[in-house]
Amino acid sequence: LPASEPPRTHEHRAERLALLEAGCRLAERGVLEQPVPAVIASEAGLPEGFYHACFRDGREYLQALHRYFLREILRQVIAALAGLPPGVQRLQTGIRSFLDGCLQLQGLRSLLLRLESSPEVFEEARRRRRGFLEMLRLEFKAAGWAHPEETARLYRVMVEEVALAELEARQELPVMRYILWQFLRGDAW
Amino acid sequence: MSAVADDPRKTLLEAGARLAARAGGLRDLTLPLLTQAAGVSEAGFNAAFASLDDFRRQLLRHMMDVVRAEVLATAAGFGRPGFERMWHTVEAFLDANLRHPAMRRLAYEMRTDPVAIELLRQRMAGYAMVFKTELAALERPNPGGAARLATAMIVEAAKAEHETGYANAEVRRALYAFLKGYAG
Repeated sequence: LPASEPPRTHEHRAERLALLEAGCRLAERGVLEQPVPAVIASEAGLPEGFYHACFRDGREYLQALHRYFLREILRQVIAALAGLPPGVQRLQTGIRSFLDGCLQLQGLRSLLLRLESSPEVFEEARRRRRGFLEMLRLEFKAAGWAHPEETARLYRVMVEEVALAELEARQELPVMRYILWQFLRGDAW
Repeated sequence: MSAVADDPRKTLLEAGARLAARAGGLRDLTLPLLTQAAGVSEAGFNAAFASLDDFRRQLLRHMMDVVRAEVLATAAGFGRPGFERMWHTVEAFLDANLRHPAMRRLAYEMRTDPVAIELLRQRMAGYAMVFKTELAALERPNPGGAARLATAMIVEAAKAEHETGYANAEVRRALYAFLKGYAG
């Protein structure tokens, strides 16, 4: 784009959101392997022109979907954490909310994971994981864990692994969540 | 008869491992560079591998085989299953990864290759089986599920140490605390 052209993200906010929510619904129905502008616009109840006004190409649409996924999960986690003091209970509440959010958006998450073999989606996913990692680091630090950075990095992959197991099973796996809490019983508090 | 004539595939893999160790990966690998380093003709390469991508995948598998053999050899000589042997095996895995940084570098370079991703997942499942045996001896609930999570965490610890290039005491303490927490 020429430098003088305004960023597309500031135009047609409502339509952009509607197109992303449409993509989310299509992903939940398993029919969004590749973004087809006409199908997405139709699902959103909008003329196809809005898709092209909001997104440069399919790659940009998928990146925006990734951010949409992250925003939705974050919104839920932050709401769940409100008012809770630092500690194991707050940590578990936040993680439970993250896992529940992944299950609610399982079609979208499944699609995004499959698309991670493309470098641009991989980079977006890496940014998402870095954000989640930082949240965990702050929680472990506030809770008094000895090595919050290293601890958060290791625990994050276990949380992601539980999310993956639940995605494979397409349902909550209480036993896996129970095991996840068991790893928090160490003497590093 | 020379070793090259006996097994060009093995010679090429060993040359690839040396090149990867020297260059810190195989991003810039070319066929002439590889065949020259191995002393094998391009025809010999084509008979052994379908393409350079195929070669990279086979090399990753070969390097992971070497690491696994070192880990299992260490674990086998260490008493009965349980937390102590599991921790010994975990440290053997981390140390072996540090001794073979080219393997981890190659795995990173191939992070978006679907075949390599599947290969890495299979390897993780294999390690999870090893750790399941140790965790089962602790008589804790669902050792299979716990081993899956523990393996993901142990591999992440190896990646963290690869980034710093040394045995990171903080990473190992955090790992130990989690595993001890589960073991009870």
